[in-house]
Amino acid sequence: MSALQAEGLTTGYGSVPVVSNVSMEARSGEVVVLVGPNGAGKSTFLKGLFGLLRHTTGRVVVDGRDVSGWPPHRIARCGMAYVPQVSNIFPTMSVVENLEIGGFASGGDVRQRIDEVLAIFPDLARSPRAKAGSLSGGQQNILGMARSLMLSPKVVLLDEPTAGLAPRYVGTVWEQVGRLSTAGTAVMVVEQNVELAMRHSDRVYVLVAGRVRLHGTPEEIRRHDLTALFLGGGATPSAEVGEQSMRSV
Amino acid sequence: MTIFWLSVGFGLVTASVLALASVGLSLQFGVTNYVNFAYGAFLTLGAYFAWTVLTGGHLPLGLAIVIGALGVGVVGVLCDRIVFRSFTRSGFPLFYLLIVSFGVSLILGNVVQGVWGPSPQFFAVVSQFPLHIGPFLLTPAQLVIIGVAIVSMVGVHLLLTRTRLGKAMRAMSDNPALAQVSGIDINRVTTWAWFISGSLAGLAGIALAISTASFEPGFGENFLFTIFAAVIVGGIGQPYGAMLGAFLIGMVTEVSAAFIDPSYSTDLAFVVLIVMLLLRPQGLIPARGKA
Repeated sequence: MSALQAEGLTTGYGSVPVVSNVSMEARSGEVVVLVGPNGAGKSTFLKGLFGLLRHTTGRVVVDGRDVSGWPPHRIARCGMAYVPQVSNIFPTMSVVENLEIGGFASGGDVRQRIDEVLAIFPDLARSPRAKAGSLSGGQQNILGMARSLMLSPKVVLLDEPTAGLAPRYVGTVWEQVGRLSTAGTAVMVVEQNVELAMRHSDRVYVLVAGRVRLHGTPEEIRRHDLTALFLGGGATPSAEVGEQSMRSV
Repeated sequence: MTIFWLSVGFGLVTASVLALASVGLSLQFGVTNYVNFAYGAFLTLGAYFAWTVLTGGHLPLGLAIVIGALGVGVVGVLCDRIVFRSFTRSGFPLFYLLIVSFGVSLILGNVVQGVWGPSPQFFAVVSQFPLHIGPFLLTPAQLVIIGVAIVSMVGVHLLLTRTRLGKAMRAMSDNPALAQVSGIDINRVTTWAWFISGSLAGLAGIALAISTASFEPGFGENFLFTIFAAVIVGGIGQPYGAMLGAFLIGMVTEVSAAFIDPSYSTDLAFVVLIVMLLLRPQGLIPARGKA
């Protein structure tokens, strides 16, 4: 079942569209990765999905509900979570308080959920009272991810969760992504490292200059010269993508 | 030595008034990330609201204080909803909001003058004999001001650490965009921040009016820069820093008056501010990511 569906989304900053007419889908239990060169509009697309940027065309459907035009706090309450690439924690608040804020929209007692989330991330459970700003970069990213799980979302959007991390944390982050999908959550990840993206995803979208140029399973995507595509090469997407299972949008 | 302890007692009173005012200003700044220059006018309004309820409505002083403080809280919310929010929503630079708050201050100041007139007023607090408390000599009214400030500071601490609203305010102060994506309705939290900030300003204005012989339009505005000094010394946008800053500035201004010409006491507050900015520009408790 489709947990997240974006149809013909055009969004950007002010009146300048950064992504145009982009359609994507993430099904329950699936890891979908967005790759593309710098400035392709990957992070902008995630912000557009989450209502942080206005979209001029298209619609966003989360778990069957059209959330187009909703403010971010309402979208968070209807089952989609977003972890930004930077500033993804509340630095002066403790680990537990960060998680409490993550569960804010539930309106009730979140202590049991905090225990459940800490059980998933034992690294955080070791120092629940530590100020989030004092954690290492990797731990902060893990905390950002843990915070996003507090409302048991159907969809999680992760914007470059491994950017700037030490190698040992990169593995941990992808391990957690895998766990999320196993638990039935649809995970959409923006990733700069194409090889990592291929290794850990079920499906891949290649975004170049604000448009989806390729879409398919990692095996299907591997058959194409992504470097040339990233550099602006290649013919029209439809001519470029020959496989039936692979769609260009 | 006696003069020293007397001045420390006065310092506690001034610090209490400053703490009420500077914590309110810090709470609002922490959530909205812009400075409100109309805050001095909020203090003035608090004094006039309570005085009007006391003299016109013949209600008890305690009730007049509560109504006066909450009334300014409502004024704060109205200023946000009618004026400031339209600018923040349109994405105007923060500098514009500073100028707008100057404008609001002028408008409120003129409203006060138009409604209550330019003549000084005073709170008819029953004549009070000072009490010896340890080395201090304080009137019951001054003791009440210190008590109200302590209770308010404990209240603010409990609000920030024990309640959902307070945690949401801290989250917004830390990272407003992340607070929003975490499901926090930032408009609602902002409204509460203005209400609490306004109420504390009103309370501070009433305390200031009671602790001084009289008050007139503009008396809160005159106190504004001392409040700014306390807020900046403590660390902008940090309520706990504002408490510390208020204590430091209150003590310095009053204790210094025991040894040098009292007319220099406000200047001394700014000497403390400049020294602090040179030695520790981030304030006693640094804020992260504030403009």
